[in-house]
Amino acid sequence: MRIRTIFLALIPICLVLLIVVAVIGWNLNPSVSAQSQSGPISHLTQKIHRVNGPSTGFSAIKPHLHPANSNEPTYTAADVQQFVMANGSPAGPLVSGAHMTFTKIMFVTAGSAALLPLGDETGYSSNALVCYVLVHGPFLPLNKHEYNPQGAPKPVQYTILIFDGVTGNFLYWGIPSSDINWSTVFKN
Amino acid sequence: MDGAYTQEYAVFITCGSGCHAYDHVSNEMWVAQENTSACQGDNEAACWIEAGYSTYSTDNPYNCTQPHPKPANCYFWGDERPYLGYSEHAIQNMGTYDNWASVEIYVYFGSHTPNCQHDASGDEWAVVTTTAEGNQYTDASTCNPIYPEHIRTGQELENSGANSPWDQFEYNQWFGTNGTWNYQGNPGVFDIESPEYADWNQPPSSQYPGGVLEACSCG
Repeated sequence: MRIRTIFLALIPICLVLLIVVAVIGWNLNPSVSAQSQSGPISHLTQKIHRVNGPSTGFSAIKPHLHPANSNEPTYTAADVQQFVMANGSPAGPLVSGAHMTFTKIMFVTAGSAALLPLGDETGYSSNALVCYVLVHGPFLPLNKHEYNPQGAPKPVQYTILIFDGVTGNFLYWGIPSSDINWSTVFKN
Repeated sequence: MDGAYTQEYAVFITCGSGCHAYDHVSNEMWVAQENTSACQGDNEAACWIEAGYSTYSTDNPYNCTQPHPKPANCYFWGDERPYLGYSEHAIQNMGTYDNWASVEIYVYFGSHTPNCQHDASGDEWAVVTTTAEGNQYTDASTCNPIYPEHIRTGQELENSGANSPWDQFEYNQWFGTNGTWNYQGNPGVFDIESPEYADWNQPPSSQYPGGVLEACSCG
């Protein structure tokens, strides 16, 4: 059904990168041995505690502002810049010779972030404050999980980072598609 | 096919002594649409959603441990969405091992809206992760109008030096477009490269519905 998913490549920073998998794959319409209507049949035995809402992230930027409104930023764009410059892109290292630049650092509601590429998966209520960050590399996306790698990872131009606008927690990151026209996205 | 489920054993996995910032091992499940070019712009031959747990290296400042840096196995999920790109969400540090966890991915807003690029009105997929200690997170892969036709379950290793004991995936199920959950009834097809290894401990049968799959980086 599938071809093998191994690659061994010499990439510009002289790392040898190997991605291998051991998976079982099923194609569409596998045969049926039993059915249920209401959900997958769980055989877990632990008591389930449903967490309200999504993960609230992990500590990153330290808040130091004390706004009167509890839904206003507790840190600045300069703090974001300092944190990301110090820690790099979660996607991977800069391409040799490149320098990271900040295309956008926006404190916006989750509802507004949802209208931006990859900004729609916070799981937060629409009025919650998040910080949407777009940085330019290019980067080698060595931290990306790949479904079926066919060769050395190609450099990507951008990384997106999403932080909680109030706690400063890091929520998630992404690599926007090269199909996105940023001049259209940020036309205003 | 509109989703998939597996119950996986929570074992501690590590990148080993050779691990650096860009290595990982993950035990996970994907649902994927391969018959599309919508993610080729991202060097991906498929669009997909994945969930499971993964190593995050000690010097990765974006891992799930508090404080950083610290060796981490994190529950996570991610997606590669048509014309949008890749997102990765760490959910929680793995605090409990040697117990079963589960991941479940299914569509719950099946409009299959085309051309959903910069708005949140497209298809949504639920990504439900139940941790070994029983915390259950429901996340959403949004604006994701995929029609998956493949499920992959097992282990992914990036770079060498990894050490993963056998992990098991059992009660494997798929969610039909008619709204029914079904145990996997056939043995599927393996895709294995050393040092990764996988095999059926128990193939799907009436005694072992969905089968018991094993995978490790020990080949």
